[in-house]
Amino acid sequence: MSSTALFLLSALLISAGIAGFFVRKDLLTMLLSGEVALSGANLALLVFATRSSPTEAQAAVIAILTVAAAEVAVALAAIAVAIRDKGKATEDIASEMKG
Amino acid sequence: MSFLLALIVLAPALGALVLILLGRFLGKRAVFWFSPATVGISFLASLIAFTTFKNHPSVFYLFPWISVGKFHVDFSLLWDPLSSIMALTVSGVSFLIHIYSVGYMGEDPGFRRYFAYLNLFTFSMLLLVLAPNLPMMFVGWEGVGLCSYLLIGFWFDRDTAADAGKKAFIVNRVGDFGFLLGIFLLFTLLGNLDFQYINSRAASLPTTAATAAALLLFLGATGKSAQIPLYIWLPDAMEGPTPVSALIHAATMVTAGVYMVSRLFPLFARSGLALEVVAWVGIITAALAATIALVQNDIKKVLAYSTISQIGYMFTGVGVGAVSAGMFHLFTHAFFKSLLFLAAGSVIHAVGTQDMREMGGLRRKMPITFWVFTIGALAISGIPGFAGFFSKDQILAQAYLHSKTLWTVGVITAGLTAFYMFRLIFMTFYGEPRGWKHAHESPPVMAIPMEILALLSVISGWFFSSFHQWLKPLGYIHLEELAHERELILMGVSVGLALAAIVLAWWIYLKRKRGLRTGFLYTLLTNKYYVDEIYEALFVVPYREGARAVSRYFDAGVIDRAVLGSGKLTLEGGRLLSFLQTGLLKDYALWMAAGIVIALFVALRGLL
Repeated sequence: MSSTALFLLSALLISAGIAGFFVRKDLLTMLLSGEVALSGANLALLVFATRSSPTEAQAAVIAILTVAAAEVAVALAAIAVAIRDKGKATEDIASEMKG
Repeated sequence: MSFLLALIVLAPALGALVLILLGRFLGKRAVFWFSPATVGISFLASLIAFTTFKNHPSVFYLFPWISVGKFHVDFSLLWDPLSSIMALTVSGVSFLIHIYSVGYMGEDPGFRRYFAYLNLFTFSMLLLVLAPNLPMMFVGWEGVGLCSYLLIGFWFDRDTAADAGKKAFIVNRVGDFGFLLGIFLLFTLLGNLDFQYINSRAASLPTTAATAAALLLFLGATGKSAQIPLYIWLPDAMEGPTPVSALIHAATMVTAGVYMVSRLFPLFARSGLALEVVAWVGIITAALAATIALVQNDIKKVLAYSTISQIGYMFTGVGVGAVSAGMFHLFTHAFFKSLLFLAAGSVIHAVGTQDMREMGGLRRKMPITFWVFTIGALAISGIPGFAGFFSKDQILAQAYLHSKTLWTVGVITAGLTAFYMFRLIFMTFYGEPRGWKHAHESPPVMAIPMEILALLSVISGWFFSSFHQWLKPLGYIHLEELAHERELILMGVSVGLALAAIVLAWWIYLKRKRGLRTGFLYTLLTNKYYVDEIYEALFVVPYREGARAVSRYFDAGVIDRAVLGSGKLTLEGGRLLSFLQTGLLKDYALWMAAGIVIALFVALRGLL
């Protein structure tokens, strides 16, 4: 597959992820959308890795994977607590920070 | 070798450390043995050093202290003719006073604190004395100042004591400021602050620079040694326990200024003016303090003014170039003045008052105290055979050769000294008991130190020529020769005047049984020439009012406003930006996405 096609796929995934994040209301789906966007970014980086500078791009991919894994762990824990305490996990459950 | 000298300094330091940190675990008897023992070790070490090193100058290096660029100050100890005598005197007198204190302060609930401070003082004083350079001397100098403050205000629940401590500390700050400036000036001039270096290079200094440095250092000396213009703290310092007055405010600390001038004599000699100032300040202080002592009714105040007066003599001796004479007076004065204070303490201990008008007739009840006090009084009055005679006579003879006026003032002051000392004796020990009921002789723990000091007050004067020879290796020790007949005449005048003054005191206070207490002069003297009031009006009030104005206008108007303003700025800024905090997750995500878009736009601007 050509790089252009792969980059298009990557852009599609990122856009879909961001759009999903804005459109959906339950936290779990928003989290999934975020992961999709991150995967899109990873895909673009991997294309760079195979075409031009392997080490830097691969390092970035591993870093993003690590951050994503940590983020999922924290986010899932937060969602679990939200469901236990408030019975639901939608984006409007925590607005105490409102100025 | 250096271990021995380190022991002199460190034994009392260890004592202070243990008493401060672990004092509360020690019993009464343990403290009473431990604290004097550490000073006793120090005295023994001084004695051994005195007999082994004799007066050979040597510096014992311990460890480096300050090292900045080319400037080095080592932590080392200097043993030389001057410091050897000082170390022996300080540790010896301190040891005796520690023992006396066991009897005097034994019943005081704060005795642990007392002995801790006393040990700390001994350490600081020995450090001052054995310092080979100005910075180390300054550490000791400030250390003794701190201990003086702590011990004057020892009974701090009495307002007068707390105030006296503060007064001593603040007045000394003024002097120390001069001292510090003098050190800085010498540093910029020479780049090295070792005494040996300063003294060897003093001759090459420009006269004005040497004068400025010497006078600044002398300002420090007037603070510590209670001379005009900074003597006003010493009479108030009598609020402290009497053994403290004996040790710090009579025998050792207050003579530090004389020691410092003797130590740096070549620098002072480089500038003739500075020496002249030292001599004249000394003799004027001596005369002025002696006149005030004439009318004091507090037994300790009499002795305090007498101390100021005697230190004036020492400065006169050094100022006319006779370092050995000045130092010899310091040496003998340490014994007879601490003796007088300890004996006065014994009286105060017995009758429970310091007012001589409430004493009288104590001679029979307290024979030992009476006799040792009389010996001390004879010594300070310059009666032949006693220590003060030899040292004072030597200073007066040298002053005579320098200036007849100096001698005249000095000899009159000697007469005044004899008068007020015997006024004190007649009011305290003779006549009818006035006011007290149960007086008792002090226990041996207090009497024995007094007896030893009484012995020293007699014999210490007999060794002037060997004292002079001992100091000779310093290189700047010399005495002018006075024709023998002339010397005898001068001696006769001063002794005659002293004896006449004693008889006069006897006539006024025992025969007529009432003092002279009328007239303008008496009012002037009882009010101490209004110096405290003048200083109050000249310095204290303007300073306080100035501080009040600054606190009211500058502090409240500028500083407070700036501080409050910066707080208000963040508060208002936060309130202004708080509309961003909607609490909605989507909003934050939107901001992030917008940020990414902007960042991308900036990064890819070249491609578009």
